[in-house]
Amino acid sequence: MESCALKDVSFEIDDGMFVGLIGHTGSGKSTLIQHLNGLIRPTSGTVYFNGEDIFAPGYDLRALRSKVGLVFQYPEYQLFEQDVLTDVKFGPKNMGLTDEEAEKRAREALGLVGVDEKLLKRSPFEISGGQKRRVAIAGVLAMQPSLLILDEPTAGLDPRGRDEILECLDRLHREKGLTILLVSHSMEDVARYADRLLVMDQSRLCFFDTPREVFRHYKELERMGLSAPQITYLAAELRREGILVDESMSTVEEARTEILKLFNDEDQDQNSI
Amino acid sequence: MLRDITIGQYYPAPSPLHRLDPRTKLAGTMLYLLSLFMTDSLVGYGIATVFLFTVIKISRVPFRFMVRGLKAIMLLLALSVSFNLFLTPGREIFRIGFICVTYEGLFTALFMAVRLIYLVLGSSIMTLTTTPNALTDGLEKSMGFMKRFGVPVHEIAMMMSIALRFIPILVEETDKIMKAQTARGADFESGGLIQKAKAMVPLLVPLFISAFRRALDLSMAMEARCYHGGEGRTKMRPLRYGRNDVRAYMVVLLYFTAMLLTNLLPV
Repeated sequence: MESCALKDVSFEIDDGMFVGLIGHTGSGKSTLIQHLNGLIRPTSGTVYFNGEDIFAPGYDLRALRSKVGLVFQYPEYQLFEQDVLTDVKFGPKNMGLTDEEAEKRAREALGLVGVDEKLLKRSPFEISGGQKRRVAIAGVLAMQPSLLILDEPTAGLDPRGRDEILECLDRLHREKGLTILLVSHSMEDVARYADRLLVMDQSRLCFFDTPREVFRHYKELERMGLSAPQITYLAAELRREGILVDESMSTVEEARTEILKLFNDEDQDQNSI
Repeated sequence: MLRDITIGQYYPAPSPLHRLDPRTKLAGTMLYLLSLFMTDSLVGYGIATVFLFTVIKISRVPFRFMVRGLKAIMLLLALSVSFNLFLTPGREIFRIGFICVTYEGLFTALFMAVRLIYLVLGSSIMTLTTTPNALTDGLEKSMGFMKRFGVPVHEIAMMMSIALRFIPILVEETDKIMKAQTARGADFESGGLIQKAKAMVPLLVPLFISAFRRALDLSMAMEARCYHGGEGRTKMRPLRYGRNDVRAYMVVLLYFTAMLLTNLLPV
């Protein structure tokens, strides 16, 4: 029995974008991202990186994998070295860099994700879960990719660990100009950080647009087993009550400005009477 | 990458053989294997052939699945055939240098090959028609008498079924870790033997750790559900002999007696 894991999936990601990838379990998200660095070869169709077909014969996939960094789900399960620093050096060393250069990059990457200096010589198996996750992400960052793909990097973390990871990604995006593709189940998270959303449903790409536009279709999202951020629902409820807020607001900050604006308008109305 | 490996070669089919009690199949297979070693006569091999192919027919397992098991013993088969063929003294057929092929050698080699092939076919019928878990259940029950000698039969059976259960999980895990390390630039394919062995470290260390973690979790979950070994434990589907099992035992015993009798025949 054969089935298609991905069908009709075409999109283009520009440099410097922060893209959120959402979809129900089994919709093909993980399969999709594994195509992007050549881990899975598509039976038809192809992937272009900087205009070059990555599945063309002779294309250097190993070099590509340092440019397109992929962080798997629960990446801490891939840690294996004796200490944190050596583990993070694994990627850069595989790129053929010298030991000093690899160490420099490893330290830099660990600093970026906020791993404490004191932990560098500890075994990666005796640090906390959140720290392990960051070390694993640093392991990919140390290769200095220009596109970073993360498969649910916050799964299984406490709220604080989750916020720290997301803040860190946002900082990498803003300060280092890193292009980021974030697979997530949290509509709040992608609404807050992403400037484009990819929505997958049953192996197909359904939407590729700004979060505001995508969440406008929250009825369709629900049919796919997804939802919109709570604020989108709040907006819909408010509008039903006759309070005309912008229906495409999706984050708490947007909601605040939106509602405050209404109050201000009301004040002015009263003043004019 | 690794998913092509198939272990535990159960082939589901709606046949009376699949529905037999695993103990019946174990005992039947044992007797069949034994019978192959007892006979040397053509008649004996004839009976064994008829019996084997009837059982294969009943099992409804495609013949090519049976043959797959033979690939593993190809080397052994070739070796034993050539040893018997070239090194048995007797009436000469032809000779090349010091290699001499005799009638006796030809016959022993032929019988040897047939015996080996039947051994493998006979035991693969059992593994193809019985799920690994049913097999361990059957083993546990029929080895129950060993408990008296202090052998922890239930525990061994439990370990076997857990090990079998974990094979697909660990294969999937290996695949995942392999991909994750490949994404970090690891190379599992190229290089010499030593380099390849070294490349396995980033794969094996996480794999072992995850196996230990899973083992700990599982034992915790089992203890939380009050598992305390085989003492006083009941089964959801206790093994019970049915009418077909009695019939099967009778057929096998009949076959076995026939095989015994062939030895008395003058050939």
